[in-house]
Amino acid sequence: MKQRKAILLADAESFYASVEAAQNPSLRGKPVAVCGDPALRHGIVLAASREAKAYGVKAGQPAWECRRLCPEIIFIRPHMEKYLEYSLEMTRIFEQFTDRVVPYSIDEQFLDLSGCERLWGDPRETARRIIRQVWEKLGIRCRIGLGENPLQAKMACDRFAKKRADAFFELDSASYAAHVWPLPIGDLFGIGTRMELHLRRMAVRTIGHLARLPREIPARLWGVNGLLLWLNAHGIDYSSLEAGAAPPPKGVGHCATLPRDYAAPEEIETVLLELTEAVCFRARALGKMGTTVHVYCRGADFNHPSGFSRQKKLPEPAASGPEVYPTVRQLFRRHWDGRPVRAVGVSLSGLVNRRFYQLSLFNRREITDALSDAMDEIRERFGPTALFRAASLTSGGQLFTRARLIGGHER
Amino acid sequence: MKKKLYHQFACSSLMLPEHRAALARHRREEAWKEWQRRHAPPDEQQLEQFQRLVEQSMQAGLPLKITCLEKGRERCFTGVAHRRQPHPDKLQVQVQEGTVTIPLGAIINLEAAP
Repeated sequence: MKQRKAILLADAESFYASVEAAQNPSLRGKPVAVCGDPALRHGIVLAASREAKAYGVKAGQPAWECRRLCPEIIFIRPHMEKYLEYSLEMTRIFEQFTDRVVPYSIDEQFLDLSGCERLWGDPRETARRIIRQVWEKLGIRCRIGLGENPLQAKMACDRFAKKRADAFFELDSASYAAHVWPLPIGDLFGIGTRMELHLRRMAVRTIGHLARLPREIPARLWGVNGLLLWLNAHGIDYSSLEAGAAPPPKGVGHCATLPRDYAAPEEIETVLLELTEAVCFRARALGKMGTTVHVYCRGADFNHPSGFSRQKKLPEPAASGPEVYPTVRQLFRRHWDGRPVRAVGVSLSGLVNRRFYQLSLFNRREITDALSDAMDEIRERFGPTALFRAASLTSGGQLFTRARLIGGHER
Repeated sequence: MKKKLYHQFACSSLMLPEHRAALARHRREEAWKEWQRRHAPPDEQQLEQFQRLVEQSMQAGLPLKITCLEKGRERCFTGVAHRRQPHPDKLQVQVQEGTVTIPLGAIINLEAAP
């Protein structure tokens, strides 16, 4: 008989806010929102406690709007290092139950408990034990969805477990349609607001409506994405949680929201240079070079959206600032309309192995490679500000501010 | 079939580079702990048992499976012990390909070959 899979998705409730409450018990039971610094234009809510959510506060709202909804709300600055530590602690707890733990984000992790029944007993009971252990050891409320594949576990967690007092729900192939098909189409994993709009225009209002369409229709309209959505509507998922099963990254990128509107081209170019260096550093750490560079620029005026997003193929694959930056600057100078800028981004895609490249008669690549490697070694050992370009000391430079951040938020 | 069909969660995973680095560090530490656990030196009781098995092998030709560490790597030999060299303590084992000499201090496990 084929063994039934038991995949769990464990999700920490209001993770950042829960960590703050775990560290400072006086915050328990109070409306708390973790929010960036409005002075640095990071004043949006990253996580809201259950009590704050009761007032209508949601992640992504600006701080002033939260204050309007809930005047007694307590704002706390993010502590990203602490959140990473807690996330890792959760991984350690999960690893006591199975060695197949795959983090999906900082607050969500997949666990494969297939074949562990003789060791731990029924997966439902194991899930409840995990919930208890995370609460007792970390003071964080964890919700768990159980399914026969990662998709079912994700749907069970997001759509049902989060709304239940016992924080647990199970879906399987037999019960999937009965529970999931009546849900609105936007609740299906993988459907964003634009796709929801497309589907609603086709009178597909529930997940069941999509499931009942012939699979050729979504596949013809949206290719592999359409087929994937149709499979998701049926609870079918071929994803693997095996280590190393994930495809290698297609690109690396960095973007930055600027602390004020930048209007001077040399200031914007300084940030672009810093981002290029950071992107190249990451590409080199992966042992890759990029073949295409992409520059993104968002205008400061929300009422009249401006900016651009353009890419260009590099003359030859590269992963060092001096080779990539000229193309970045060229793209910026060609497409920037001269209006103030609020955010910029640089990414490298079309990654190829850094060890193999076409030799050039006139370009001594081994010298730039050796220089890049030496710089990487210094930065890895002493931090990103140990060695930097002089431009970072000018008024536009963001290197030192960015070095104090993780994921764009305070360490 | 496209990659996305098999990796929809890997494709949509949102992981900070710092989180990835912390996880990689954690996995390395765990692997190191596991390595140390597996390669811990044998205790008194195990040494006594090894002694008994070596004697049986030398007297009655019992084939042994010997696991030892060589430059940090695990190596496995299956054969019959036929001589023990003192100063430094080494064990000569007759394996299929010939004779190997294993320093006794390098042995981390010794059992009767199946």
